[in-house]
Amino acid sequence: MLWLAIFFLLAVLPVWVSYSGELPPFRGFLEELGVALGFIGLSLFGLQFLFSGRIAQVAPAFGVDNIVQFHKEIGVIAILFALAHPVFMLIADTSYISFFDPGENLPRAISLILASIGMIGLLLTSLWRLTFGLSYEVWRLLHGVLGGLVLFIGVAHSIQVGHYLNPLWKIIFLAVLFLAYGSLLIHTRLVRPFRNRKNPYEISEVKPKRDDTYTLVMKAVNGSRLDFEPGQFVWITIHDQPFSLQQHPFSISSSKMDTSIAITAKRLGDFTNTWKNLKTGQRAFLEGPFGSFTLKDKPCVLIMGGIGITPAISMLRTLADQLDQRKCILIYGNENEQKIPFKEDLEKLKNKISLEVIHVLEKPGENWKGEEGLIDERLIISKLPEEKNDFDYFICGPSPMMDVAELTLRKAGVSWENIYAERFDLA
Amino acid sequence: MIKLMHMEKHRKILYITIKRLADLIGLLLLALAMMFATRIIPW
Repeated sequence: MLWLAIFFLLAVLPVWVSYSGELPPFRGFLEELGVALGFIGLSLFGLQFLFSGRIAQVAPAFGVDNIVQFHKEIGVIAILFALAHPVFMLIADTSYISFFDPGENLPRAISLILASIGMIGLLLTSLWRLTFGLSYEVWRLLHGVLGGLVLFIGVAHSIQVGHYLNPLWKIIFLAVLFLAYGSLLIHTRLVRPFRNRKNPYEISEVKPKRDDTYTLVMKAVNGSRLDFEPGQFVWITIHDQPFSLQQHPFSISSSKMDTSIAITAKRLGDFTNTWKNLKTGQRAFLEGPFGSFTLKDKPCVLIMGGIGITPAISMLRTLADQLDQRKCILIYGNENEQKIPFKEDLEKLKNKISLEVIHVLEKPGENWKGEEGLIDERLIISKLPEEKNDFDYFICGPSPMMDVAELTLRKAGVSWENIYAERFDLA
Repeated sequence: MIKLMHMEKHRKILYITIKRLADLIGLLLLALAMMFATRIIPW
């Protein structure tokens, strides 16, 4: 609630400051509403840069997928407010069309047209990235450039018009506020990679696993590996320099106690397709860790599907290394026996910790004696421990499986506080 | 908003809560914008 209150206050701050003190004469409701919406839209737009900042203090409290979703929702509202600004101004007084007239003021017209196109572009490419066939890297670059451009033009426009920004201190206040927002983007995309260049990693092993899955094992060149909690993820750049468009989030699959760090992924996209050809010694840069999908003190039920198991593997390996004998139940769905990533690793882990593994196969072979079909309500209910709320529940896998698992756990009376689920499709 | 139309039947409650929260913030800000526009506030 505190973060929400701060967010709301920051959203209102520019319009509040602009409307304080002595005000210019009233120009009619629609025109004034257009101005207020413009200020609030710009403010919300600036606040979006907080989300790009991957702020370590905020992210763990909410979970990254929830923050990304909030960013999307508020981003749409910000753009609608900002676009409503010229619409209302034009409805109130059509002579405002001159703002878009290159004959009257060329730089102003170009920048406002650019900002309008930029906002529509941001909206469309973010909501329908895949429909437009944009790769993640191109989209990420476009998102940053368009976002920065629109914010810059928006602030410049409000200062240039300056109707509500007299005396000078209001302009200085707004400029400083929005400079701070903009600097978050610069920090994430430039300063952080720049600092990160001093902590390179080296790929020490590329391990092929079952079903087109690969594990990258990396060692910190300087010996100081980043510290993480099992279940968290890192942003990885595989390049000689940290400044690369290729930065992707991946769950860590190794134990917290290992000196090296490993991530595992299935060949699904352009980026993961290149993994099998990676050579040992290749430089990589890691940023993180992030995520609140982490093991607490309680015993746990892990409901996993396919390659979604990687954070759970990190948890289980860490428990084994720490000789932690808390009870863990893993309900693990896969298509068939040949496609179970980490099958052998799970067998070994069963001997080291108090782990019960329930494999659920969609299309099992003839000799399969375990569970068949999809992970559904019946299966989950039948495997739940008696003292349901003494356990933490971690869910990761395909979206429909996660929906069923969450809904079933809630129906069974498991408290939301005990359910951890992280979904993101950024990679 | 737009994404609501594409939502699966059994979306997690948290997801909907965030959506409603964002919409609520949007509505509150719209109301505030109107108040600023009519100059009811600042006092």
